[in-house]
Amino acid sequence: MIATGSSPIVIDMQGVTRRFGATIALNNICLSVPRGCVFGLVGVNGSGKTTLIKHVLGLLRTETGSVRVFERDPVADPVNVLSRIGYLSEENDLPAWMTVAELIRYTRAFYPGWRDDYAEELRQSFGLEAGARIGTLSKGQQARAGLLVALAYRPELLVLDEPSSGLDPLVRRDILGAIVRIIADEGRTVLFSSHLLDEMERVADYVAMIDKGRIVLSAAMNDIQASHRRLTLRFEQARSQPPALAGALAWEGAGHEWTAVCHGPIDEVRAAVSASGARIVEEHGVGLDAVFVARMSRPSAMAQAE
Amino acid sequence: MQIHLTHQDRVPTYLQIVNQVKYLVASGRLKAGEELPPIRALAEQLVINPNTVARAYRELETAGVVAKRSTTGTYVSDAGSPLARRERLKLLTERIDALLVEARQLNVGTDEIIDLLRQRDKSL
Amino acid sequence: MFPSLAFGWMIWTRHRLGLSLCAGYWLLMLILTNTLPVASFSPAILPFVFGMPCAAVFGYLVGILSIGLDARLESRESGFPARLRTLPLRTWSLVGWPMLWGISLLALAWLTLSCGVLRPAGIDHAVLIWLPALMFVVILAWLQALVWSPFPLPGLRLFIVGPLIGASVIVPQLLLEKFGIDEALVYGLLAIQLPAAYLTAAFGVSRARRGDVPHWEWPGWPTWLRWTSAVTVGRPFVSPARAQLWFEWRRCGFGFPLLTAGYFLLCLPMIPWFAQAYELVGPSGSPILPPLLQEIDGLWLALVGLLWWPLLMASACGLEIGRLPGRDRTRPLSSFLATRPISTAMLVRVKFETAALSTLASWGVLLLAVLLWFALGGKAAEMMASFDVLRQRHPPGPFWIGLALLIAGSIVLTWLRMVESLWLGMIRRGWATLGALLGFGSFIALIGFGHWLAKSPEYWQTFADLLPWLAALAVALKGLAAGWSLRILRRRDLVPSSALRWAILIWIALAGGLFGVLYWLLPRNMAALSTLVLGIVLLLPFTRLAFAFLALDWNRHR
Repeated sequence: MIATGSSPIVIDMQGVTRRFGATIALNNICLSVPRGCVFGLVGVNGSGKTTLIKHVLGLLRTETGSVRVFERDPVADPVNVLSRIGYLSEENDLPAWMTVAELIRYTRAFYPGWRDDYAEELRQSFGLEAGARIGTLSKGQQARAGLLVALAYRPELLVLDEPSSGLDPLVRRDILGAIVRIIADEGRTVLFSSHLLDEMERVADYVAMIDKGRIVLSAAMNDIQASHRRLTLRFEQARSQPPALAGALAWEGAGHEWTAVCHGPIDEVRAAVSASGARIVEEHGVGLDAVFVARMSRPSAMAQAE
Repeated sequence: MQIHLTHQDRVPTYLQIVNQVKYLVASGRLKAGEELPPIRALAEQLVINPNTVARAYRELETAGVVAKRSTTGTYVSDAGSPLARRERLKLLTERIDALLVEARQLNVGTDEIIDLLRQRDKSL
Repeated sequence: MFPSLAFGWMIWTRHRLGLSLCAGYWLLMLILTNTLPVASFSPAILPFVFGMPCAAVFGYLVGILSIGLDARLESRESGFPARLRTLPLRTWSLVGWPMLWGISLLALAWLTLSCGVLRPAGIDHAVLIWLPALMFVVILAWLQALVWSPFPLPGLRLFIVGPLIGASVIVPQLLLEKFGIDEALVYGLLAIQLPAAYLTAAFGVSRARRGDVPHWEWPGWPTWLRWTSAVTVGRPFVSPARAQLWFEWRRCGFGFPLLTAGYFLLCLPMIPWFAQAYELVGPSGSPILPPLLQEIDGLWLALVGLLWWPLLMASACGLEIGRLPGRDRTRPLSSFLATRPISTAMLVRVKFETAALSTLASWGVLLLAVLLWFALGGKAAEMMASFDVLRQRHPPGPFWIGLALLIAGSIVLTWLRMVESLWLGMIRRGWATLGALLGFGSFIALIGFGHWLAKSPEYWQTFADLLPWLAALAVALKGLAAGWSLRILRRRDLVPSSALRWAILIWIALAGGLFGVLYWLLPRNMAALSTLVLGIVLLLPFTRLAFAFLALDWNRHR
């Protein structure tokens, strides 16, 4: 049951900075996750995705800035916030000594919105035996068990921290299917972080890219796909270095032909290209992984010379 | 309705759905008046965001391929809907432009293109 | 590197800190006993002051040298680390070298203790040098053999470990006592178990390496599983607190009663021997024993003395209850538990309740064990007679009240000992452990001081004069600490203020009640009063309980 008059912003992080000793894990993060969308977090290992998610769940206290989930502070009011969140963590931390039936019975007590029939339906479709001990389940089955207890009470916010890491395609399909089913319900939101960018492209509405604790890109998926293009340019004279082009993110190539992933309104890019004296030979749309790689690669990692 | 998505060409997902629905309508596998699956069902089947499916349906509606009846769902519209014809011609013009550009780059003459068109029309 | 050295190096690098601490402690003892005139101290002080740390050290050594105790012992699989099983070594050497290292280290530890520490302290019997060394070594060898062997049935290992290891050392002793066999034969019986354990271990590890272990199930296991709620989703819990209580109980609550049961199973049969020991050593030993022995006879003393061990174990079990299920220091609380929609205060309250259930269960076990022993031990008549004698010596009112107080007080004290170490279990950081060790050490030092004071009457008067000041200081410190912790709890809004008010009221009522009753029972002079106040202040924890809330909050929201 969604409370009437609920705010359109489910997660609101403002100016969150977090240090672990000398390393800065999050650097002035400002993030707003609107209700009813699938929000994806993309970043390399160690870029701060898990730290961000932990702030959302209240597992980390904010040093600076504020975090508001459902307009409440998850640290000060864990009961209200956590009872509306379903969480699947990257590594399995379900108690290994419990059986699946005991896990269901235990988790059921905490959430008033739990639906027994839905939980049973999930259990059967996931193929989890009620008497199986969680410690003896395979990694994929453990992930399914964690997904079951995160979904069965139809949470308003589903938080997944790299849910597909190390799992086989069948389990990944189950997880994606769960995301799609949840989001099809009015008013529910999904926040998930992943490396698997093709999966994210399929289900995410908004994407935020994090690099070294800073958000380098935060936009709707449609906008990202529309505003990035891969252009192959042909130059009259062979060049050893790619030209400086406004909007070009990363270059590849050698000699006469250079390929770049470009960002920005396409007319401006085309104008800039003609101004530099090259001809556009090929033009493609780019997928999310190419955008990610282009934005994450260091400026020095440009194409080889000669 | 069988839709297959691919990531090969970097074509946006909604566009793939739009194109495939158009192809199905054009090849007769989707008859006029036939109902398209609800947004949620198609999203679950393809395991993609329902908003993507919604966008595809909106595009199809703008293009006149389908018509949305508010309570009952989305249906394939009759072929000769006059309001959408302009839209359809505009879309085809864009496609023809892209085809001609590609042909020029690959050094294929316009006559050869016309012959190819006739050939493909016969086999469809 | 030779495999022999490699294993030694592996043991050393894995437990650098622990082994260095043990070595340092050993060195300290060597220095102390060889420089101070320890032999002139009462012979009871040495085992008391050094006994417990030494036992802890030996326990630790046995633990780490069996290389695999951190595995799941109740499972079928061999506890021998899997990555070692794939080394390119024949099983003979793969098993032999760790065993040899373990045996040598343990024997060395004991031999240095007995020759370097016990002998200068005046405890010098030939049997005390070689026999315990051999016993320790046999225990370790069998432990290694059992932990490293795979078993076809789950849980079978737990059933076999106790009886086998117990029998391996007790049977030769019994033979020596009952049948008076030659002492050399006892040594031989113990020594022969070493190759036996080695062969068992080698056999087990070779089967584990081949994966050639039959996979059986206990007969009736599926039926048992079906009967319990493990297979079907049972009745829903009444509230989240109840669910959490179930969780905590299943995770660690029944450990303490189990431990108590095992302990009593082992120790109750030895009560007559303890009694004899008290009566032999008593008059020359600690000064408190003779007057006690006049009151109650040796058997009762031994029984009551045994009953104090759960109190000490309670602290350790409190650590276990407080230990948060998490992977390691950096993730102290598993996110599964931390994301339960339950307040921190409720989580801690549930831990308190688990400790209470655990205490009641283990005291129930204790009662059962005592009754069993009375029924089977054959000493019942004798003990009832001496009890009657004691009862008649005192007026009935204070006697029964005192007895009831003793029993109820012990139960409450066990619970208090458990919950006051909760916060320590939650904080898995070096400084917390260090602080706890220091606290424990100061407790031991205090007892040593008490012993020394009892032996030197010339200081009694000054001490009696100091006592009221000490008591006042203790009360002041405790008040300060309590006030500070209460302020923090309020500021973090961890515990509702009504609960805090109740807590303060209960503490004051408890302290006041205890004070009142003991005041009525004990002689009235300043020293006794001050000791009473001091004792109550130290005994009833308040700040330590508040720390539990703070520790969990700190761990849950880093």
